[in-house]
Amino acid sequence: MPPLWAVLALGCLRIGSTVDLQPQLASIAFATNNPTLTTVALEKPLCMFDSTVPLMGSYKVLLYVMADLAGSRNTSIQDSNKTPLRATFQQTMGGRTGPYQAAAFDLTPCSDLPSLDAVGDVSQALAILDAYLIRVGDNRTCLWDPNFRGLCNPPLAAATAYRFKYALVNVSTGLVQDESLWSDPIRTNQPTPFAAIDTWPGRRSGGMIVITSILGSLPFFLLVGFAGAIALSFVDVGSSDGETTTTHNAQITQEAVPKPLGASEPAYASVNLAPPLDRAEVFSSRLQD
Amino acid sequence: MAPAAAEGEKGSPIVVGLLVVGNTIILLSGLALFAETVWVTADQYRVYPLMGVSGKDDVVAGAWIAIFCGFSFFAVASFGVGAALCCRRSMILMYLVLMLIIYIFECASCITSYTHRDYMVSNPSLITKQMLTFYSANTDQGQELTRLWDRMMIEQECCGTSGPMDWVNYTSTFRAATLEAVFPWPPLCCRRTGNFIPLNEEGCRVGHVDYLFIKGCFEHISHAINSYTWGISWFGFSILMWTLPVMLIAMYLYTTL
Repeated sequence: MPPLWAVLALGCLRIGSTVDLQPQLASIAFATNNPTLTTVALEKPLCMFDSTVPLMGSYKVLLYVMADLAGSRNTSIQDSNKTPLRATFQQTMGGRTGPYQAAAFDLTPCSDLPSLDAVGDVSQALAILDAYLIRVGDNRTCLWDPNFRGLCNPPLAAATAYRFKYALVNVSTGLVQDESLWSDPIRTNQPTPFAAIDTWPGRRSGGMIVITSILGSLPFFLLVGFAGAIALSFVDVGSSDGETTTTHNAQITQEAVPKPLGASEPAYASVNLAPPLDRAEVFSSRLQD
Repeated sequence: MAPAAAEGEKGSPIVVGLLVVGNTIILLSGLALFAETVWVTADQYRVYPLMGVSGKDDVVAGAWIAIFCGFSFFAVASFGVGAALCCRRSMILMYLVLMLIIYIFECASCITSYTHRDYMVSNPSLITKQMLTFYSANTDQGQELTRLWDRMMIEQECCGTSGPMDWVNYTSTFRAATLEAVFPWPPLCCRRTGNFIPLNEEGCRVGHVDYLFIKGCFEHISHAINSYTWGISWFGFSILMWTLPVMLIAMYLYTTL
C-alpha cells in the first residue's frame, strides 16, 4: 500500500522540539466508513515522536479531543508544569468547553512497526487494526456503567466538527514530553433522510425515445394504409360494377380469340360475366394446378 | 400483354414470393420472441421483487404481452403464408386484420418495457431508496426484499446499491434497527469464507477493504433489467420493423386481387 507508507514516511519528518504534525484520518482502505455518525478513526502516531532519535524509557500517548468552536484553535492541553490535562468527557460537555482525554495507549516504537501488508491475514488482522487505528467514540457503555474505571471514550455527537491532538507523556515523570499540532476540523457524519432521495429518472435514454416515437407512429401508418387498401378495393369493386358492360366486352373480345389461358382466367371479370358457371370453371382449373 | 394482365389479377408471383418469404421470417422470429420472453418471465437473475415492490412491473408485463404476441406472430404468419399462396381476398383480409391487432399489442409491449427500464435503472436512486425503505422492514414486502438483497449481496459479492456507504450516508429502516456503532452496514456485506462465515467481523465493522464488499449491487441489477429489456424491446422492435413492409406488401396484394 504505497499511499499508506507515504503517509507514514511523512510522519517521520520532525522539526523542532514539538512535532509539527497533525493527527490524520485513517486511510480509506482501512476504514471505508470514516468518519461515521459517532466515531472518527485516526491513524495512531506511528513514528511521529521518535522518528529521529529512539526514545528511552516508557512512554504513553494521550489523545485529546475538542469540539471545533470559535476561539478554540490553540487551546493548550498542559499546564505550566507540563502536567497533562485530566479533563473527562463529562467535565467538558463532550469537548465543548475544552479538550478532554479520550484515549491513552502505549507508544509503538518506530523501529517496531506493524507490517500493514499482513492485514489480509485473518489471524493478524485484529492486532494490526489495533496497532494502526484509534477509534474515537468507540465505547458505547462507559458513560452508563457505574463500575467503569479509566478513560471513557464515548460516542461523539453527529454532524459536529472535532479537532484532535496527541500528547507524548513520560510514564515515569507524568509530564508532557512532546505534542502534535491540533488536527484540522473533522466533521462527524450526518445521514440524509432516505425519503429525500429524488427518484426522478431524469433524462430519458436514447433507446426509449427511438422505440417510443417510431413504434408510436408506425401503427398509425399501418392503419392508414389498411384503411386505404380497403377503400381502394371498394372503389375497385364499385367501378368494375359500373363499367361491367364496356370492359367485359373488351375482355371477351380479347380473350375469346386465342383462349390459351384457361387456367389463369381473370377472376373478377368472369364473376361479373356469368357468376355460377365461371366460378366453377376457375375452381376446377385450380384443382388441376 | 395478356399473360401479364392475367397474372396481375391473381397476384404476381414476385409479390406472393415476397410475402411467403417475409411471413416465414416473421414466423420464425415470432417463435424466437416467444422463447426469449419466456426466459424473461422466468426471471433468471431473480430481480422481480425489486420491480414488484416498486408498484410497477411493466418490464415483466411487457414480457407477458410479448409471449402472446410471439406465439400469435407464429400462428398468424403461418396463416399468412397460406393466404399468400391461395391468393384469396378473404384470407388476406383476415391476415391483415389479425396482424394489425398483434402489431399494436407488440408495439405496446416494446414501449412499456423500455419506458419502465428507464424508470427503474436510468440512475441508482430509485433502487437505493427502495433498499433503504424496505431492507429489514417487518412487512411482507420488507421480508421479500430483504431476502432478495441478502442473497444478492452474498452471491454477487456486493454491498448496497452503489457501495457500503449507501447504508451510512442515508437513514434507513436498517439503521433504525441497528445502530451504526453496532454495525454500519448489514453483516452480509462482510467478505466471507467459502462456507459463508465472515472472515473478520471487526475488520468488516471498521470497513477494511479486505473484509468488506466495496462494490455496489447496482451493476448487477441494471445488467439484469437491461438484458430483459433488450430482449423484449429491441428484438420486438426489429420484428416490428420487418413486419411493416411485409404487411404493406400484403395490403398491395389485397388491392390487386
